[in-house]
Amino acid sequence: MSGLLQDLRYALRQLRKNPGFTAVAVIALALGIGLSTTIFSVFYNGVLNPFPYRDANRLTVILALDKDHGSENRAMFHLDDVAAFRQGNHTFDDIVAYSGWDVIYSRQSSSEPVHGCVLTPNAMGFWGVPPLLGRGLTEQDSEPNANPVAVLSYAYWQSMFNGDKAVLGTTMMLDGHARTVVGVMPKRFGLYGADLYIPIAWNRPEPSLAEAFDSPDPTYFFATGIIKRKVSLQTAAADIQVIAQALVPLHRQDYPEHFQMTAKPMNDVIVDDFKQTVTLLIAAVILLMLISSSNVASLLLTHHTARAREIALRAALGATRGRLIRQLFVESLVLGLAGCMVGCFLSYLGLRVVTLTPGLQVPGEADMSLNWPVLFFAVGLALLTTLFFGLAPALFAVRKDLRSSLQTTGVNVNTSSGGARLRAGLVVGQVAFSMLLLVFAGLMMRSFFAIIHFDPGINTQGLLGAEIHFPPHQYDSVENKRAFFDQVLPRIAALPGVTQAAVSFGVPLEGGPETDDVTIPGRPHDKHWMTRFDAVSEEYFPALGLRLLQGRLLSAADVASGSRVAVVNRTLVKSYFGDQNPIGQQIKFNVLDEIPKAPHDAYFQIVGVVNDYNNFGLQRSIMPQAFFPYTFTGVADRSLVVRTVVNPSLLVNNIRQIFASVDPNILLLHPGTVDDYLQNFEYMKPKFRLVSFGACAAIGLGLALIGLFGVMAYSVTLQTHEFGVRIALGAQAGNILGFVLRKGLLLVGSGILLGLLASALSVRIVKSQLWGVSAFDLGTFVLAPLALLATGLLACYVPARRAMRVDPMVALRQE
Amino acid sequence: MTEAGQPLIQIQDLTKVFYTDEIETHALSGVHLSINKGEYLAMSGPSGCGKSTLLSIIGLLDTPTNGRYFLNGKTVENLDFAERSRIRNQEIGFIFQSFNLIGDLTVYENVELPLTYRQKMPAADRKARVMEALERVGMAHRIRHYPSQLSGGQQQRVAVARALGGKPSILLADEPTGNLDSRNGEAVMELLQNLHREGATICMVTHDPRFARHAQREVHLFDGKVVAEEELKKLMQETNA
Repeated sequence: MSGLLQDLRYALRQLRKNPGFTAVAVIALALGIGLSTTIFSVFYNGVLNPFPYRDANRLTVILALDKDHGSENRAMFHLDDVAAFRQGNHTFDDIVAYSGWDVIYSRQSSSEPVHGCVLTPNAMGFWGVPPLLGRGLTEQDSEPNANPVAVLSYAYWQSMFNGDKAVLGTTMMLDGHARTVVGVMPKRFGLYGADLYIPIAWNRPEPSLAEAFDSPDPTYFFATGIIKRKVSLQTAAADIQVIAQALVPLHRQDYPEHFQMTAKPMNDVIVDDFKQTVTLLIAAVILLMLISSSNVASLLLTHHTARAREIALRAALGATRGRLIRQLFVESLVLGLAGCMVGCFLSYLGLRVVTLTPGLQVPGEADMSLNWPVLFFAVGLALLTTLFFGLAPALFAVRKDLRSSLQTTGVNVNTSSGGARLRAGLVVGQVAFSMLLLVFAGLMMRSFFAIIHFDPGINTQGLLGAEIHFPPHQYDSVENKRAFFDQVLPRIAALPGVTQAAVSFGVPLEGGPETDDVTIPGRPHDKHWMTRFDAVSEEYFPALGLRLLQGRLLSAADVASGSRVAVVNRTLVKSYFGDQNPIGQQIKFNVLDEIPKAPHDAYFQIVGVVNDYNNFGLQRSIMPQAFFPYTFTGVADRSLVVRTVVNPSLLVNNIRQIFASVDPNILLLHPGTVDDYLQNFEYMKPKFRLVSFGACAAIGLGLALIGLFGVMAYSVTLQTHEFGVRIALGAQAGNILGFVLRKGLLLVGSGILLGLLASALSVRIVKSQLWGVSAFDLGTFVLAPLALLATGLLACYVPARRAMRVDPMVALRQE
Repeated sequence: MTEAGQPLIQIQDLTKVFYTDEIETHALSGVHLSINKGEYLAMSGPSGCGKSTLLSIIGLLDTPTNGRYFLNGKTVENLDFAERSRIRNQEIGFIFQSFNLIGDLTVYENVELPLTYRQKMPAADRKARVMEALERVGMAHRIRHYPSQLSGGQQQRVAVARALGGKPSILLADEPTGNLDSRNGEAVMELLQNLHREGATICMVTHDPRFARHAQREVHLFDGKVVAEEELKKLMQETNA
């Protein structure tokens, strides 16, 4: 034990004596451990353990798969269907139902939108998270005559009530009805991203379609269960299938003709895409750790080599090889633990960045912190890498010939090909791994550039979108809606910097209503023709920058009269009419027949065709779409679209004032620019991939260059005498430069070739993360090696310059 | 080649001062020296007298602080690095005390090395020169060997071949027998003598009077100055006393 302490003391002294070596080794390890720990924390906390709920690993989402379309197109069911699943199943411990509840919170001075969530009475026990303050929702709260209550989320409690504990017992006016706050949930409980939670009885009467349109109470609910232990997902799905088949006659429209109930872990449903990205990042950080470890191994090898005489002396004085290895290994261990400590700090900073980056697709309830499993991982990683980088150089150091080591000065020892080969091999490996990371990062960069330079078909700059929430029942008629928009749209359009103001159902790119099928006289079809539609004012087309390709756009007269005319996009024409002229053709949007206050059996005459734009997000195929006058019906809330030549965000207050001057109860919700939407929802994932893979690649490249520089610098030191001889024999500076660079080029080139080969073999695994670029993108496969070659040669240039400046007199005297 | 009557090397009032921190060390103080073509000169003197410094300046490995140095009638003391390298490569052949062969290169490659620095020299010419030089020193049968596989004497013969390969105007030998036993030392001296007989100009630094006697002329250095033999003896006696 005392020997071990002695080794530890000596190790600390050695590391203190060589601050440069110690700093580089610790930084190299810390960068590797830090990034690896950050990614592991994201993986562990965000993918493996993202939820704070009881039995989170058994939470299972029930879905209905449309076998004809092959997509899980129904995740929500009528409440009584979920109740039937709950009562009739044999494979779940319990099933809960929940859904959204978007209402207005009216205060004395202002009204605010609230994103609520309704929960069935068993929810609190089901999720198993006790409240932070007060109480949770109980069975009694959902009884018919119970006092209406609400439980706040932590975030809403903080933002709306400043975390005031006196909030308990407060009455909130939600959509004109009073509710008492009875509790606050803890910080991590963020189910459905809701501001507050209210109860709903399992046996509440099913609302009619008309009631559903007039009430914030949801019709459809998510169904999530806790699957019984040792029951497979397939068994659970088959169990639910039997129940669902019996429910089809009750809710025929909810179940496709050929459907199959499926059960998926909630984890997979929520974090699926994120999981793929993080899994790839795990692979990237493994490469990074290999670079980092071999970098330190290379440094240690050099360090031990320079100490060959000391090691030989110790052996001559009686130290066994085991004792020598232990001593050198203790030094590595100290380095590893120091790297681990600095790495954990870097990881802490990295996790702060991850959690504070807006829009990053990290599950909201995940606890991205340096918890015990993550710290255990960091220490384990440090020990593992210490074994890797510490043991091989130690074994190598004690293997040398004692007599020759004792005769050396320590400077030009170990010119043996074994040590040089090992160092060169480590550097080639580092360059190869770095090449692999660079190719991955390059592909992510190309993918990111592809998406940000993608033309969505509309001009997104200066385009403001916002939802308009009307008070219940007051604006359900066409006349009232038109009267409102006739007042506000001209005033908004007259604001300085505004060029167009228009009304629509949905905000551009964020989607909008769609119909499962359309009816076109003379065009029968077997499959469903899923089509988007939007109800717009005439200024909508110039506001978005849509171009007329055929026929005419909607006119002010069309909108004023609510004419049954429609403008369609090119995809609709190609999909439904082929080469035929669509102008003058009739089209019916079948879903309108199911909406109580919408015109039924309404055919719209196609009057124009506009260019396509990405109406379902940038990364999905363009759907057939139609636009008709917003005055075709008075039902539902609407959206505002404003084209500006100034910063659109500056206009939001002015628009709110215009709304308030007409009716203060009409709210402008979630105003934002389309560019912001693109940044937060379309660009964020590619950006996260770019930044994370880019960070791995940059750190990997940096470490590989440090390794290359170290080996070349050490090689130059070893060869100082040789350079002196060469210069004495007449070598010009260029000869020496070329000699060193050729040597470096051999290492870099070998690494690049190996890395390219590995990239070509493994690049398919990142294919799912790419958009708009091939996994074998030529630009990446050319530019990445060139970049590595250039930086590699730069790393060699500094030692080469030193070699050029060797004074032959001094070098020859070293002999 | 020198012009008729002109020495191959002419050094006038040469000084060399080394500056380290606040100390000035006068390694050479007003040295005058001429070496004629075909001459075999030995420079001797006690340790630290400046003979190796003078040899380095003659070999253009170092520059003088003051004074003039003419090589083949051309002043060379103020040439830039590239030009000095070119002259070293073409006009001067070095033989070092510690051989200074490159361990990673074979005997052939070591001898070829200075020739590779000459631009536009055809490979066939290089090969011919290398083999000729190795033949002259009796090492042609070891062309594929590495220095570590040779004895000290053999290594020095390879070093001599390397110096000869470039067909220099002068061979500069710095203690060429210093790392050899007496038998190998004698062999190398005999080799130099043979080369001299064949017309080579040689300037050799040695502190061993036995080997200095092989030279045609002996120059004695003491405290950075060229002194006569008798004066050297007197100075040495004074120093020892």
